[in-house]
Amino acid sequence: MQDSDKENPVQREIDRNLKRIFDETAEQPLPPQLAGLVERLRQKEKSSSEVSK
Amino acid sequence: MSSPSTEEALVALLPSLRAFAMSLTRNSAAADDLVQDAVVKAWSNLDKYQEGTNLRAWTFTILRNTYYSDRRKAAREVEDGDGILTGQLAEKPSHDGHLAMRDFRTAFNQLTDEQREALILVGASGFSYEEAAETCGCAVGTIKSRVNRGRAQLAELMGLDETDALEMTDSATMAVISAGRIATA
Repeated sequence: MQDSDKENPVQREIDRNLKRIFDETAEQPLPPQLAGLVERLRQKEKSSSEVSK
Repeated sequence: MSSPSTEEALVALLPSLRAFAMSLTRNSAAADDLVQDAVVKAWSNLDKYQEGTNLRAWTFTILRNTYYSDRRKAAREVEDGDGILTGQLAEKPSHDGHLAMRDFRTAFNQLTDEQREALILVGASGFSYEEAAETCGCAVGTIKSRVNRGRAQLAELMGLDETDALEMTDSATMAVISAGRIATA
């Protein structure tokens, strides 16, 4: 954050809470929909390229 | 074809992409769908990503563009165009040194999309103003306005009295803060 923003205690508290609500979601385990998504995309791409050979 | 390191980096970004999506959609199911759509798009366009450049900003940009594109398609207004507050919290929250999580999230969800994304990018994700401006496709000054207005509206919604804090602030900083409130988002 910009240095001047750190001067205001209210803004500092707001930013702390922004990080908290962000981290609250970011620290959760990924749901099944997303866990392994990249791996599934990679496998799909790999099998598509093998079929085209 | 992507490099293994880019794939690993993309996997590592999923939790923060999901948190960013949550700040936009305000709904966890919609956030997960948004992340899935964005990751599929990112994967399909990895040939356009330049190795070694800012993958986080690149994927965040795809995600927020997908969000706004979906919104336009749905033709559904989720906010007032000029950011007028739609309601106050029912009770003024008590102050115990830290804002209650539920109250803060309630207040945060009442901000405009543009303010929420600016605050999360700059205030929570550690983006610089320049990175956030690039991600949102706007000027740095616009991001700063949105962050300032978002913070001011959060303080108002939370019933926080900034005058106590401002008494400790010099006049030059007060002028900057006031100017940020007046500037349009």
